[in-house]
Amino acid sequence: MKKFDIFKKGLFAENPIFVLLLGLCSSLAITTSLTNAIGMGMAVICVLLMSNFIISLLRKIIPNEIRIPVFIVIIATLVKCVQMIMNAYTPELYESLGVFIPLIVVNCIILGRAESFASKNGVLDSILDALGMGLGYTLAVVIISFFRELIGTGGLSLYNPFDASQVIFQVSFFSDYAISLFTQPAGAFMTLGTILAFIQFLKVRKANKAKKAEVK
Amino acid sequence: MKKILQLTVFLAIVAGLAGGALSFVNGMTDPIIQEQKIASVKENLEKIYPNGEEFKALDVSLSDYDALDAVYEADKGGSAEGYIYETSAQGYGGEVKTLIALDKDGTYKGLEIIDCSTETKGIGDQITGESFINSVVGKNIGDSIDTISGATYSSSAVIEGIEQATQHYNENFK
Repeated sequence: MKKFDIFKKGLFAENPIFVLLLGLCSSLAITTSLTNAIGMGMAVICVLLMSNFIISLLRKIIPNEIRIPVFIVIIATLVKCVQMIMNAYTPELYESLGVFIPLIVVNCIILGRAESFASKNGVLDSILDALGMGLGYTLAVVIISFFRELIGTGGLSLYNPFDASQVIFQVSFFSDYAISLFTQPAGAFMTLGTILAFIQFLKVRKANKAKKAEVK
Repeated sequence: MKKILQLTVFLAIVAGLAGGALSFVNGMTDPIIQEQKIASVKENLEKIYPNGEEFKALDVSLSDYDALDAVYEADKGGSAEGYIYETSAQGYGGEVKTLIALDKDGTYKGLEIIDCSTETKGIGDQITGESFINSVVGKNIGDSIDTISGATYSSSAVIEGIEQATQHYNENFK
């Protein structure tokens, strides 16, 4: 049960974007479409899984004084590998994600998990943590991009991230009334802010209920 | 002192391993990336050089040339036959994209208009007509190329691309 909790906390209780507010730069920039969000999510999961795995394996032999430079070298290498592989096999996705693939290097989620989890825990736990955090990140960017694409273009579309000619679905609801501001960076901030406010509202309401129950 | 040495060696080993891993992945993916870069334009490149030339995308900096998007080299029998530039310049309604080929002796070998969908039908799209293409192909560097009267914006966009391609060619391949 405890293992499952390690996995689950990344999804909700410690969601890297909605709760820890880590890695906002890339998540605001790439959430213009569902396809991008899923592609970026997968890239982050790959890097996070491998970096947590390698770092937890090496945690006993990495000297404490230079652990951060070592983490960064490992993470940068992994990101560069993922970038080259994406450039080779998913060129359309690579084009649309652009500079944000190399920027996974400085995504605080990766270094944050390496520093605060993988360097202190075993291999299996670290992999579960990476999966949870990676999926939590993916879930968060998918939610943001869902609202941004829906409001910004008036429809939703999803392509196979590995082959842009393969359309999974493409629907248009109110493209005449689309607010194109939402496809711009400002729209990303508004969307994220609104979602954060909503999550906060739910939390406060829950806390208030708990308090009332106590008083009674 | 010993400690510092230890740390240095450790970091050096990690960096070395990382470099090794990178060069391995690069060796694996680089041919595929190169092929893909060319695949999207290969059909058009073959129209200009139809005699079984091999194409490769050149990795050159084009930041000084805002109308140039990419440069390809056409090889035959191991030596360069000519260079093909992918250009895009502002036309009347949007960007006009072309491929312009320069032979190794400085002749305009071919001109393909890839995209002029933003130009006015019947006016701007005269740039795809044979008379305009033929007024470019076969000329040498230094010959003047006229715009089409009535389609000045669209044809100027093509000529802008040609001029920048020529400039780049003169500076790099002459």
